[in-house]
Amino acid sequence: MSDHTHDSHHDVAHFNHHIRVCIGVFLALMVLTVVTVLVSRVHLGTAGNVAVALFIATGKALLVACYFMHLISEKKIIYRVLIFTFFFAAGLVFLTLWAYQDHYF
Amino acid sequence: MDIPYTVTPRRDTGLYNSKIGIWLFLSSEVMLFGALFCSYILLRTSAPVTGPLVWPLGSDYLNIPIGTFNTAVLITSSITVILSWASLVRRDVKKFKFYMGVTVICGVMFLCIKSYEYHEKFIHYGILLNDQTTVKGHLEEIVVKEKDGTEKKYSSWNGALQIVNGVVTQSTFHNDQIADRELSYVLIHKDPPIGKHHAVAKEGHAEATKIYGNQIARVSNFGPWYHPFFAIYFTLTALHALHVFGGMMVNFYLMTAGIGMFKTDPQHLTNRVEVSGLFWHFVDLVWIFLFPVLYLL
Repeated sequence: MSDHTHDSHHDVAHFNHHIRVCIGVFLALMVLTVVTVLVSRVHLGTAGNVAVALFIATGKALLVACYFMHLISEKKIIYRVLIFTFFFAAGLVFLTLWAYQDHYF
Repeated sequence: MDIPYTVTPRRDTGLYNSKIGIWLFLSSEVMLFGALFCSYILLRTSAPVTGPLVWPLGSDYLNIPIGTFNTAVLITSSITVILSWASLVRRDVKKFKFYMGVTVICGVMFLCIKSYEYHEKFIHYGILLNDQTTVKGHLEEIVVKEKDGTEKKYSSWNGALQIVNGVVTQSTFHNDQIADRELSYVLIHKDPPIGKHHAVAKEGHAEATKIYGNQIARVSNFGPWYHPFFAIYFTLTALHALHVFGGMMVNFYLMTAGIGMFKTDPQHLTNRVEVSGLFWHFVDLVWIFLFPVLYLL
């Protein structure tokens, strides 16, 4: 009973497809890494370079999270946990940027 | 006593317990690294726009090709950890050990490269002159006058020296305390201009420049104490490296001592590899942000 030959909520074809998608994501991540470095050499002003670098990094992070970490087809409870994570992390960044207005440093 | 729901999913969550556990743990890790990234934001935005404490470009101090290669190493290790999990799902223990082995080797490579980068920082020095300009390069020697007039030479100083009017007012970290000694001079192999190949060896390439003690305000190697940029660089990357090391240990255990579970309860082992893989992807994710922020911006 305990010896499942595959994940209980996947059939074999779906699983094999998922692995092939992950290999595609791996190649995309390598390309995006090179793109990140090349784009950083173009002078867009500090704000411009920061925005582009963070945009590409967020894209790479989403690829890792959705496909490598399998979030794109995860159970609802995980999404509920991550909503809290996102809320508190966003709050952390927001409070940081708000504190900058204090001019205490 | 059996730990429940290591394989069978709980009816209310639809998942085996360690998957929820690892996601909760990763959520807390997001707050940990998030807080440090916020520290980076505050340090950077509050840095003065002129003078020696101006925020540097990452490329001024960090080696981008090495950092890019390290990024590629971690991304590769992420796909191999997935392939190792897939091998276990397909009950192929040989392939599992192969791919997990590659993952562990990638982790070791990452840590070795990071250690090399750290070493490069510790043997590299910046001399702040009284006119607020900085001379950077590799140290030949620091020559200090003892109280009895004899000269003492140091070929390295792991720490910082504060100097006022040619006299050391503060010395940190190195074993000898040389405060109140007179700094005679410093011999340094200056860095070549940016774009030229970096001369590493003391004995060989660039000739040493002599800078007299009364021109110097500070001598320091590029440790965390050198500049707030280095403080946050070392904090972020060292904490990340600790995570790489921990994840590597777990992965190594799963392919060696922990492999026995393949015979007794293969699905349980598969689930263990899956959640360890989730941690490993998180470590890769943090680096995906660390690399551009520290090296490229």
